[in-house]
Amino acid sequence: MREKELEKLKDYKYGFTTDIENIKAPKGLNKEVIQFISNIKKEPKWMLEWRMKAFNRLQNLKEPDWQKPKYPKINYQDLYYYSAPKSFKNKPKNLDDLDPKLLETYNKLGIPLQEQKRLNNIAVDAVFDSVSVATTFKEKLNEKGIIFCSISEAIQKHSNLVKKYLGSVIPLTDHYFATLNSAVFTDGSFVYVPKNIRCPMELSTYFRINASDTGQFERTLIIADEGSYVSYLEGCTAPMRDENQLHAANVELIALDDAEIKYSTVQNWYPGDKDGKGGIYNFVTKRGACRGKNSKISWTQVETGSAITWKYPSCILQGDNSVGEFYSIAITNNYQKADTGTKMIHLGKNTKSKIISKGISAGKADNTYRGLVDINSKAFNSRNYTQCDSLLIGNKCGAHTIPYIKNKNSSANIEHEATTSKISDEQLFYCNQRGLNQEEAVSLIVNGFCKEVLQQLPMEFAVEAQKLVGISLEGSVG
Amino acid sequence: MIEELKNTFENFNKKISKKNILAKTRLENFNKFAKLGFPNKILEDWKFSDFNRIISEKFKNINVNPDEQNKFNFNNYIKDFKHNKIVFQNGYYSQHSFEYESEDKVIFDNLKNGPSYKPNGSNSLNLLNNAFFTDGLLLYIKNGYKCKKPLVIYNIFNTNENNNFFNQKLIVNVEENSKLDLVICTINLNKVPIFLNTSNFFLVEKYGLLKLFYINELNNKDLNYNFNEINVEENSVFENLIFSYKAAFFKNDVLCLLKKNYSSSFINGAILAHNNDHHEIKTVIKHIGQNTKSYQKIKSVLDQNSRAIFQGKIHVDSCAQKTDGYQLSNAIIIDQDSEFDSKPELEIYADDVKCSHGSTSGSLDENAIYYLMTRGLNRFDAKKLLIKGFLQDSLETITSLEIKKFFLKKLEILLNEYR
Repeated sequence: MREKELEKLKDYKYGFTTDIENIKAPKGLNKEVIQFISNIKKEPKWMLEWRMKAFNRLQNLKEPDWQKPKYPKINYQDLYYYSAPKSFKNKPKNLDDLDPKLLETYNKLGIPLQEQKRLNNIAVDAVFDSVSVATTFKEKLNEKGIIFCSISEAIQKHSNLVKKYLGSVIPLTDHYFATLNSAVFTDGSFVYVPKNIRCPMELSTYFRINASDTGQFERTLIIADEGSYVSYLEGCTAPMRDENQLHAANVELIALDDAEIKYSTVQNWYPGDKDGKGGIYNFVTKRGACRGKNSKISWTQVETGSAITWKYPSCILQGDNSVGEFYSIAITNNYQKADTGTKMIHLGKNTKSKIISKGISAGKADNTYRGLVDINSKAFNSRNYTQCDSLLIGNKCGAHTIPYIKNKNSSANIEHEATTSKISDEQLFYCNQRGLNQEEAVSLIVNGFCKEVLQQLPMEFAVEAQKLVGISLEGSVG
Repeated sequence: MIEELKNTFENFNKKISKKNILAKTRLENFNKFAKLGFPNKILEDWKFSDFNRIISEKFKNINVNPDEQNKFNFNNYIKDFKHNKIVFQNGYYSQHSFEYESEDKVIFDNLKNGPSYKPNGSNSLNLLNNAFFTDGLLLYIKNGYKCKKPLVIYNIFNTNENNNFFNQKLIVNVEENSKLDLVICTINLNKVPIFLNTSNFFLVEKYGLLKLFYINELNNKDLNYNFNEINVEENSVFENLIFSYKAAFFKNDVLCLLKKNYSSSFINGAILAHNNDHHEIKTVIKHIGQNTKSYQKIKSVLDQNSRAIFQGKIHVDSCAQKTDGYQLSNAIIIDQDSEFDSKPELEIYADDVKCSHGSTSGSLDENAIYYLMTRGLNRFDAKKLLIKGFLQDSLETITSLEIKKFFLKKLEILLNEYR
């Protein structure tokens, strides 16, 4: 019985596809496609110009090649940059108009979109391929003045805010994938929390790639005005396919005076099969700016999926006394590769940052922590604490730690420590002795290893993440 | 600058290379160098030290003088402990004395006509060294011989010409079961700035022990790049202490290969950077054999607009099980204009390992200064005492008593000088 259950768990349970009619942009990356995307989204003119600027810039950029995980060249002309369910041509006004197939998909994923069905207090923005399907609890949030909608809607309805902040943290002229995203991004979430408002519920986005040969380029923009607080969750899955799919998202966070943003990710894209075939390339740019005094941005991520994960959620600590935090668990199994970490750029006085990174490597996987702590000469009395631990399971995997530490201020205090080890035989023996089998023992120990990070996740997610940690490592022992 | 160097090289090669084969490989090396140029910050290994910029700021032109200059009398610089010596003057071998050893067990030769080097690798300064080297030392410690006293290699410069460029090589083979304490002492007697570029190769065979120390008496306009490759075999030990002070630019590049089982290496460093200095210690330790051990401790103190860098890497091969790797870097920044950068790196492909690293940087502890001041020290002396204790931590790891005493004394003198 147990065996069967385990067998079921081992499979990527989100690997189904939804058979639904799609509207796609013509294949390829060119001005017409960008025009197409902009038209179908009924975007104002300035947005199209912005995209074109990014596209022009892209022509002069090269794909970066310094990272550890190497991948076969991506043919950008062979991708669909826009794919949406056909029923979306006229955007449904409410859930009753929504294609039942879509609803079913999200139910299957465990994310019912009907508000009354939701027991927990989370507002969801569901993104299916290139479009936002539904956003729940909108009215309730509206009462407080919080704007939570898809970014396409925000471009139309709140263009002042978008115009002001879009691209202010990740400029158009950033690296290749960020610029690519700026040119072709299709949808994503937009959050604005007004002054002195604590967002009463968790906001969340659920990303789903369904169509094949599609790249998903979403863009998230979160603005926390003075004295506000928001906690935001992000989850992702994709069907099992033999080819690699590209996911290049941009996430921008802006925290003004005394504001706090908490951004959590549970990333479970399809990681490819056990021979390393297929899977998602997850090349994401996430950056937050602590613009105001006493502001705080906290990133928490649980990275279990994707064939290649390549992302560095960063904090630019501009405001005095601002705080940046980064908690990460990256689990790689089979042929997965992860190169992840953070950048903490201290500019203001008395800024603090904390980095806790846990990497777990099993099978033939490679797991790299790469981080930067940069203390500017004006960042007096700033503080950084970094801890990176790696755990190796099996002798064919790799774990690497590459921190860059730059200190230009004598009053700053920087600490960095890292360890790499395997699960000791004594620990395993102790657990076995008490009746746990090998896999349960490993799962228990790994969960303990990750506890510091899992604690940072909101309650509902923590339970799920804990399970995910166990599942990702199934089959790696023995 | 490269163009000028090209002419210099042509003249040099004509003059010095009597053998054709040597002239040819020198040219090959130089051509490859010319293609690469001086290393700049685009290269990962030189990320924090833009050597191209440094050399073009400090050196307007580069002179190479292939003539053996007049020998001059030289009294021992180190008087604190008895030692054997080999003396090089302005890059050429001049004299030696092995008072304390049996001559047949310590064999050496100079590298004046010495072997030719293929242009391997992409380290452009090594290529430049291959192209320009004038002399060097080939040293063998024979099977089972344990040297009684340390060997000091004096590298004395008293050139009067500006911007002289020296290239040297050192090849040391510590054979099975033998032991050597090697002190390399570089002294620039004149105030004329020099650029010294050395490439050293060491082989420590089974059960061997090599201790390597660097003493630099350079001036604060001198540039020094020091590349060391060390191959450590079964059950043998390599110990290295890098004490880096003065010199405008000083980069110590250590590549240590722990090739066989039970080999170990201990690399400790102290950086005392002052007066716009730019110092870097870069280590790469490759664990290839099983049960190998490495230990690194680097302490840096920065003052007066100086810059110090530590780049350390522990690489564990997939077959290097039971590796024990440790790396620690601490830095104290005293003034507002100095900068400390570090990149402690772990690259691990084996699972049964224990590897850790730590890196900290900060200022002197005000509470500690206060404590000492309440005990009657003035602020300056309190600071000095704390810095001394901090750097001493890494000097104390020297296992040869006499040499340790010498270094501690040197530290004391240096701290007194920087008043």
